[in-house]
Amino acid sequence: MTVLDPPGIGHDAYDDDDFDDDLAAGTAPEARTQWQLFRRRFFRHKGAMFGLFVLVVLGFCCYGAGWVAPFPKGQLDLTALDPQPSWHHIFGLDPLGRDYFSEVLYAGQVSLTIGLGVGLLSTVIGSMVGAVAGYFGTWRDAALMRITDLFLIVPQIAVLAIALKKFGNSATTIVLVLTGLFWMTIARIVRGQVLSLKEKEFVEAARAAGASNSRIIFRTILPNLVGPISVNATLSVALAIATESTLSFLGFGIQRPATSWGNMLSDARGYVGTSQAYLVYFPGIMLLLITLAINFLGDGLRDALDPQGESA
Amino acid sequence: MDPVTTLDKGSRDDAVLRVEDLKVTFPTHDGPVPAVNGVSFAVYEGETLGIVGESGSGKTVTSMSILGLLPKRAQISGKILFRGVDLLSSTEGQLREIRGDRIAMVFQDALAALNPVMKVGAQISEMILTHHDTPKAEVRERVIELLDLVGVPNPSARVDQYPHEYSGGMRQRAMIAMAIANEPDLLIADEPTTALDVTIQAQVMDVFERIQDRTNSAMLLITHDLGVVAGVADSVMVMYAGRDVEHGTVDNLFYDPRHPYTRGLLSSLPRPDVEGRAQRLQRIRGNPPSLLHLPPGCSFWPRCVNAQKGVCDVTDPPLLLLGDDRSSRCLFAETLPPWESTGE
Amino acid sequence: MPTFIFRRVAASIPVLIVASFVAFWSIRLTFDPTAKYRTSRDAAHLVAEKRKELGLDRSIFVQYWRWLSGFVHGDWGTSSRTGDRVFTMVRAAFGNTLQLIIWGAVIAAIVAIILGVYSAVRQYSISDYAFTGLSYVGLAMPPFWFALVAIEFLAVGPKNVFNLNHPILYFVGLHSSAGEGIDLDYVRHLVLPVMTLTVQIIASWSRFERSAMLDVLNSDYVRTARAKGLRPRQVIFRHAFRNALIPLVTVIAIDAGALFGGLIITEFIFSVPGMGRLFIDALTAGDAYVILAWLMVGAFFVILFNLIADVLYGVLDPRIRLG
Repeated sequence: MTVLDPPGIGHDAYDDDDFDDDLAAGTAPEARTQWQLFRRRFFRHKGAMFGLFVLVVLGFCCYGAGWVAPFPKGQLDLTALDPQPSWHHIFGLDPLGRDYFSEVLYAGQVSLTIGLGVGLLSTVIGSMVGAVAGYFGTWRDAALMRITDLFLIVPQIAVLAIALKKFGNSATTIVLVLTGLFWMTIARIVRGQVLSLKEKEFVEAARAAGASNSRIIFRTILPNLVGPISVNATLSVALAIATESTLSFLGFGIQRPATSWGNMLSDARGYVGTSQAYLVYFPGIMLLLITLAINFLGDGLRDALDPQGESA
Repeated sequence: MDPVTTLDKGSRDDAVLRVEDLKVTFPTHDGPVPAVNGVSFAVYEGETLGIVGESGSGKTVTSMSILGLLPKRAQISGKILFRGVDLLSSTEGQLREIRGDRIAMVFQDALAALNPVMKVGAQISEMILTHHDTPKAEVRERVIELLDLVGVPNPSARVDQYPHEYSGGMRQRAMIAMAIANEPDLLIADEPTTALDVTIQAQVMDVFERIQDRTNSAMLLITHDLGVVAGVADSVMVMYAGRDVEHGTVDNLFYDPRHPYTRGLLSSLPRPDVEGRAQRLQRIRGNPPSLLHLPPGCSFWPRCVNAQKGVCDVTDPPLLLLGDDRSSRCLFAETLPPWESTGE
Repeated sequence: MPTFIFRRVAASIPVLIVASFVAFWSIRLTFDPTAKYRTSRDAAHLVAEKRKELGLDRSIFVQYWRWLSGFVHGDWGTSSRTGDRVFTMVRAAFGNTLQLIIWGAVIAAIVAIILGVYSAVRQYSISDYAFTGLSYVGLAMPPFWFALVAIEFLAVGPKNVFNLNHPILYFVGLHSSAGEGIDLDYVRHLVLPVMTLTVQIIASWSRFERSAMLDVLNSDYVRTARAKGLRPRQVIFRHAFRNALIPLVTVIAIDAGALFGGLIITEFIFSVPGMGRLFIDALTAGDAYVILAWLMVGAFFVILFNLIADVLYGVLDPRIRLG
C-alpha cells in the first residue's frame, strides 16, 4: 500500500506549485470566461429568445415588405367587395381600399427605423457625454446635470411636440428631435456608472501606466459599461417607437401621406364601434408585439449580465 | 449505515436537543445539492456545543433546519428531537410555539437581522407578547431589564431607539436580549460575532457566558472561529462538506484531534506564543469541494496529508467511536501520528 | 423637517426660473403671435403695429422680464386662440385634470400594492405567473391603443351587441350634459379614462412592489421574525409590508408628477376638457402664452411631487432624517 507522500513533506509549508493536480481531479469546477457565462445565461433566457425571435420575424417582415407583403404599397384593390379580413386580404382593407396587411408592414419600416435610429444615436451621444461628464467632473459634470435637470422636469411628450412643431416632422427630423431628448437619460446613467468606476483600482493602474485620458475612457472604462449601456439602448428603442407612435397619433409626428403605425391608428380611431373596428387592432398589435419583444430582450440582457437571483 | 449506532445514545439522558442522521438536500438547476449529508449530535442542558466548519460545510443549514427556517424546496430527512419531540414531524403551528419561546436564535449580522423601521424595544416586546399575554407596561419593564442584563447602557432610553442608532456590539447584545426574553431551553447562535471587531467579540461572548450561567440553557454555537469555540464551548463538532467529521470535548479536540481536517484547522491558527513554530502560516492546501461533485470515498482525501490511495479514495468512512464523547470520521483515526499542539 | 422643505423649495426656484426662461425663449422662437395678421390685407403695417403692441420689438430679456413679472402676479397673458385670459383657462382645465390625476394615482397605487404584495407572497404560483405575464403586456401596450380597444370592447361593443340606449361606460368628457358632482354618471365617465391613464403605471408599480416585497421577504429581519414564532400574516403585515412600501412611495410620488404627460393622450381621446386637451389645442393653434403657462404648471407639478417623494421617504424611513 503506497502512502501518498505529499510533496513538500519535511518542508515548512505547501506551495500551490507543489500541489498535485491528480488530487484535485473532480474537485474544482471548470472556469469560464465572462463572455461564455454571459452567452450561456442569455441564450437560456426564454423570454429573451422569444423576444429575439419575434423581433427577427417582424423586422424581416417589415423591412422585407417588398417580398413579404402580398400587395405593393399604396395599391388600391378595386375588386374587393368586402373590406373585412379574409384569406385574400388577411388584415382586410383600409378605408381607401388598400390591403391593410401590406400597409401595416410598410408603415412598420418607418416606426422601426425611427426607433432604431433614436436608440442608436441617443446611446452613442449619451454615452460619450455621460462618460466625459462623469470622468472629468467639475463644470462639465455640473453642466450636464443642470441641463438635463431642466429637460427632465417638463413633460416629455409636450417638449417633443413643441420641438416637432418648430422643426418639422419628416422622419429624419423626428429621429433627431427624439434623440435630442433621449440622450439625456442615457447620459445620466453612464455618468453615474463612470463616477463609481473612476475610483477603482484598474483605472488607477491604467493612469499609472501613463494612459491618456481619452484612452482611459474609451479603452478602460466604457468597455466595462457595455452591459448597462446595451440594456438601456434596447429599452430606449422600445420607448422611441412608443413615443413616435404617440406623437404621430396626436398628429404631431409623421404626417400623411407617409404612414407609421401611429398615424394609421389615428385614422382608424373613427372606426371604433363600426364593422371596421379591425382597423384599430392590427397596427396596435404590431406595436404591442414589438414593444413586448424588445422588453423581453432587454430583460434577458439585464439578467444575463448581472444575475442577482430571482426577483423578477 | 453508520452514525447512530456508533454515537453514545444512552449514556446521558439530559439532552435538550438530539439530532440523528440529518440530511438536507436542495434541488438546483445543476442537480441536487446535499448541503447536509448525515449529521448527528446532541446538546445538553447547561452546556455549549460548538459547530465548527468552513463556509459551505453545512453548519448554518443545520442550525436553520432545527427551527424549520429553511426554504420550502429543501428536502429534509432524519430526526431532530427536542426534549424527545421530533421537530421534523411537527406541524407548523407546533413549531411556531417553540420558536422564540423554547428555542431561540441569534443571527450573525444584527443590523440586517433587525427590522430597520421598528424600534428595538418594540421588537423585543414582540418576542414576549407573541408567546405570553403580559400587560404592555410589564413587558416594557422586562425589556428594559433585559437590555440592562446584556449590558446595553442607558436601557430606558435605548429601548425607544432604532437599530441603526445602536453600535454594532450593542445591536448584537440587543439580539441576545431578544433571544433570551422568554428564557428558552436552547439558544442557537449562528456566527454571532463574525461581523464584529475582535475586542467587541470578546465582550459579546462574555454576555453569552453570563446568560448561560444564569439560565442554564443549552447553547448551540455555530462558527468558523476556533478561538471563539475554545473560549466558550464545552463540546465541539467539526463539519466538512456537509458531514460531521469529528466530535469531542473542547480539550480533547484541541489537544488530541483525531481527524486530519481538524488538525489542519488547528495548524492554521497563528500561534505567536509557541517557540519554534514555523513563521509561515500552515494551511490546508486545495479548496473545499463542490457539493455537486464530491470526491469518491472520504470527502477530504484530496486535501489530506495522511490520505492513503486505494483506501481513502474508495471507502466512505463511518463515524468511529473513540471513547466517551469522542468520535471521528477518519478511517485512520486511531492510528494517526500523535499530535503536538505546536504543529505537525 | 421644515428647514429641509424650505431649502428644497429655495433650491427649486432657480431651476424654475431658468426653465421658464428657456421655455420662453423656445416658444418665442417657435411661435409667432403675429402670424394671423400676416395674411391680412394690410399685413406689413398691421404686423408692425402688433409687434409694438405686444412688445416683440424689444430684446428677448425685456420681453421675458415683462412676461415673468406678469406671470407671478397672475397675469398669464391672453390666448391668441380664444381671447380669454390664460389664467382662467388653465384654472378651469386644471380642475378637470386634477380629478383624473387624483383618481388615477389613488386607484393605481392601491391596485399596484395589492397585486405586487400578493404576487410576492405567492411567488411561483399560477396567479404570480399570470400577473407577471399581464404586467409585461400592460407595460408594452401603448396607452392610446388600449383606450381605443377599451372603448370598443367595454363601451361601444356592448352597446351594439345588447342594443342599449347608452353605453355602460362613457367615453366623452367627465359628465353627461347636465351632470355635476360625484354620482353614478360621473363614475361611468371616469372608468375608461382612469383605466387608460393607469394601465402602464399599474403594471410598472406592481412589478416594482413585487420585487421590493420579494427582497424584503428574503431579508434577514424577516427571517428573524419567523424565528420568533410569528404567524405568516403577522410577519407579512408587521415586518415585511412597511419595509416594502417605502421604496414604492417614492416611485409613486415621482411618477405622479410625470402623469402630466400621460394626461395629454387620455384627455385627447376621451375629450376631457383638461390640461391635456388644452395643450393640444394650444399647440395646434400656436397659442404661445397658453403653451408657456402649461409648461410652467407642468414643471411646477413635477418639482412639487419630487419634493413630496423626498419628504415622504424621510417620514417613513427612520434611517433617513432630513435636516
